[in-house]
Amino acid sequence: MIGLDAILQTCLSGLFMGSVYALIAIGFTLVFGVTNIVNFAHGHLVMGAMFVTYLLFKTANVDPYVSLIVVLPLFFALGALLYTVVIQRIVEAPHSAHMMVTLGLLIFFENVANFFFGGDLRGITTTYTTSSFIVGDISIPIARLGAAAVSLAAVVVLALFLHRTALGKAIRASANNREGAALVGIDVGRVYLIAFSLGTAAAGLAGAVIMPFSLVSPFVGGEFILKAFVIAVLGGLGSVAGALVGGLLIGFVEALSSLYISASLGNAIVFAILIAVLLYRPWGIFGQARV
Amino acid sequence: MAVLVAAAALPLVAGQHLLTAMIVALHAAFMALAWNVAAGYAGQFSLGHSLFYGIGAYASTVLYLRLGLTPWAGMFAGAALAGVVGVLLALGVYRYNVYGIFFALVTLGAAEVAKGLADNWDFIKGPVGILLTMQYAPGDFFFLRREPYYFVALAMLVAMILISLALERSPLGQYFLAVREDEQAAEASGVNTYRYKTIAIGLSAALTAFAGSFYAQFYLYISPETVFVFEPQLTMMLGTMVGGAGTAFGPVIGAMLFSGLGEALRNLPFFENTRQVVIGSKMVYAVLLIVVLIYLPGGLITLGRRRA
Repeated sequence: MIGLDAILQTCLSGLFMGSVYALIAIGFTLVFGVTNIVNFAHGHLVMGAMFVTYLLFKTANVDPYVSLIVVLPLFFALGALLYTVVIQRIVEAPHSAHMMVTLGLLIFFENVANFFFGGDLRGITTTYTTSSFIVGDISIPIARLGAAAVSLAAVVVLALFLHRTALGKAIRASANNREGAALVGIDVGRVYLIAFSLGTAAAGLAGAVIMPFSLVSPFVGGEFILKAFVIAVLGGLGSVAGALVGGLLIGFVEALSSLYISASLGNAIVFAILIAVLLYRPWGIFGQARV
Repeated sequence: MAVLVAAAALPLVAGQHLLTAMIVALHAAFMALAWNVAAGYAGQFSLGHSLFYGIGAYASTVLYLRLGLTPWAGMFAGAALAGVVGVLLALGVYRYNVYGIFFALVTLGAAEVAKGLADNWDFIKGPVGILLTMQYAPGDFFFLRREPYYFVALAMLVAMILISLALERSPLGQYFLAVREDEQAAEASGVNTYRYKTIAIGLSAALTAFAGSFYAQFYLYISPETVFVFEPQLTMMLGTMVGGAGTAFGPVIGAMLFSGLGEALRNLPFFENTRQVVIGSKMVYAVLLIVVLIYLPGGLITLGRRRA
């Protein structure tokens, strides 16, 4: 029999894992919502940010949260570069071309990382990597709590930005109706550039804050992107708040199914949910049907 | 024709190493063409074809080990099974009007579910996988030398090209194109798009399973981690999209190029070990993929057509 404490602890770890997934999915869903591009390389951008954070910690002993000062602008710029050099040229192309080109980016990033770092798993040990505080019989790991807080904060900040600022409103207008937005004088090309850069910066944010409790190798990106797909679809593709809810949901399902069944079957259950959602509610559990 | 004669004569001059590379290339070209039936001709961009590849690999292997059925027959059983699974999947997916990116994600999800189930199914040895014994038994699709595998792979590819050409000239192929070019227009002019999309997936799934069976017999080891993962799917897509989707020779060119690139880089002086060769060839191919998709959306095969 599995005790109540174990169940609570599992729910909690599901909650934390879910918020990490949400963090990874936020940038992915933002980019899709605005530009209609499915960025297969998003998980590999997270991987890239993990390596940058790893390097900063190993060479200059920079704390992952402090390294955000470098990582966020760096990844925003990387996003702008990728958009200008590659993505911009395929915005008008069919979805299959989007998928193939971003798959090309994925393969490229993975092999660049493999070239410089090799295939081994690497981690960093910060002062708080293993610390946690105890509430009753349940232990709360600090590093994961931090990632969960950042994930929540990122959703709030992005929502405020999208709803309260002129640029945010232009982004939402372009997402809703590209031609209409262009007609009222919005520079849609620039909006797309900013949305893609923001999505890439979000990948950077995710990579940096999960580094204290995660291991990185060139091949971790694949798992991230699969999770981002599922979460973004559950929450409604393009919905940033939906990504948070979807992420938490997937975290719970995974944690509970690994407690009661097996981890690999838990993964199958997650994808079965994805299929069911795509069949019955392709606009997501929480999203609204778009006409 | 000249290409075919040259291909048939190749084992006379090629060493074991080159022969192995050629087998891998022929196999990749076959897979690419099988996926091309659904994705290229009918425009159904599936990301779940590893599911059918895995079914092919497991069906022929399990039938051989449990019932003693020769894999020569087992591969047809695997194709039939994959075809049925493909049709059922398609019936469900198209019933709910799943299209475009959502179709790609559903099929990707289906392959992931299959991997999870295979990992937890003791009857097929779960994540451990199944090892086949190396032996000389031509009747059971086992050879000790490379040459027979090479000829089997070559014969399979030639058959696959002929099937693709026949499809292009058949009414079925025309319906596939109609669905791909404008589904609503096709539906409006009386084409039962639901039926033809389902047929496209079923046919493509069955053909992909043959490649899975060949994989099992050639490498003699299969596991969910090798056949139900994204790699086979990637091989199919890379070859097809770079060479030219919706053509009978484009995917062959693309797949050959992908396999050949690793071989070519191996002979360059600045790559010293295999790891770097693999990494380098993938980097070059990724760039090539992006450049081709941007500047030659029809694939490399359109280069020849433009000149002609």
